[in-house]
Amino acid sequence: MTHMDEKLQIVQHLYGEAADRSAYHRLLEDEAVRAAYQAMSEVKFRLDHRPRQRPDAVVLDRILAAASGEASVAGGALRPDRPALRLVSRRAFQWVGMAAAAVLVVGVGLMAFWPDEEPASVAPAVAQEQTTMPEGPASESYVPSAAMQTTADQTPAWDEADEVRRLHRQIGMLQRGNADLRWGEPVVPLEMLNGMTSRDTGVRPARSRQRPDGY
Amino acid sequence: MHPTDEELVAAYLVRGDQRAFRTLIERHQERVFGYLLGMVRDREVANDLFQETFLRVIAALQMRRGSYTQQGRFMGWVMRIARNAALDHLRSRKKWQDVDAGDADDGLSFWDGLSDDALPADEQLHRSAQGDWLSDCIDRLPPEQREVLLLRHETELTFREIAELTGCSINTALGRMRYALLNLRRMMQGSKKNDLADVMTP
Repeated sequence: MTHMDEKLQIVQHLYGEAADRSAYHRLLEDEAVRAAYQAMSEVKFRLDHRPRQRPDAVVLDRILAAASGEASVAGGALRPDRPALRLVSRRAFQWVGMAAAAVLVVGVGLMAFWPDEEPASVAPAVAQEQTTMPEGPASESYVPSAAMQTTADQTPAWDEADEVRRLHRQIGMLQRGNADLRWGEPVVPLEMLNGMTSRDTGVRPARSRQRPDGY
Repeated sequence: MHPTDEELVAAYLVRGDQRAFRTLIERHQERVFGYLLGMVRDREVANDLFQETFLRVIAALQMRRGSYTQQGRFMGWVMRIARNAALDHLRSRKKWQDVDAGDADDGLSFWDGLSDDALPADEQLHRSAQGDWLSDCIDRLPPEQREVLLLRHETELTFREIAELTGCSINTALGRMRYALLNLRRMMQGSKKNDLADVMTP
């Protein structure tokens, strides 16, 4: 047994871990070993009497909460990682936006390259008319028949020619009857104006009125 | 008769017995926390590491039960987790220098690296409060000696268990313990506080 081994053995004896307890007294016969043993035993005594330290109570509570499955109480240590909801939603919005933009572009493209059916039916007629356009001076007053037909078809129902002519005649009559009026003349009662006079002027009872048709 | 650690673990895993797990933690809290506090020397950090250790224990027990083989060595298994947590913390703070694994078994190269000169601890010891004096001495030990001392005195692991935990031979563990005790003795003599009464009075 080497000297080093004896020094280590004495440490085992000091802590009660020596397998061969009978060697204890034999080891202490060496004065150097005995002195080292005495010195180490003093230090061990002080170490053995050190106050024990405990963790904070809140730490124990967190651990016990985690052990019972209440991971949220465990200070978040056992909490699963937060899913990247914000990133997912942002990407979803990006995809929706891109899809909407693509649909818009395709729609505009189809509208541009796929004209409506009605103009398509007119365009060949116009082209055909243009191919039969008369030559020479007659061409200046030439109006395509299709265009005239289109203009007639587009006349509103209220645009009656008789009404227009009647209104035109009334306007003309008023203009002729008041041709002598000038700006700055004194005020004249409306009944005194030409074309507006009647035999019964002023206010009269309603019962005295008679309808033109005799009722 | 008190249930063993393994019986408490089984009660927690099989029956979901929360009181069994509480008993388990309360039984070992001083041993685990004392080691962590001695290693990091900061109570807040030690609290965090203690919590992290047992959260890892819970996760391992609940999700990966195979990592705990129930071979009657619950404390050794917990201390391995606690030591990894402590070393991760110390490495992250660049305050830990591992002993080279190559000198783990020969025992001599490690001792050659130690200084036999008296530690310049006298003035620092006088600045320390009397209650923290011994803790300050332990803090000034080389990391390898301090860890073995903490594992033996705080965690109460045997030297064989310490050797397995730290990945060295039992002779290396015993030698580190011997030097730790002798270095502490030198500190006491140097600070003239070798009188037991001076130390033990509160």
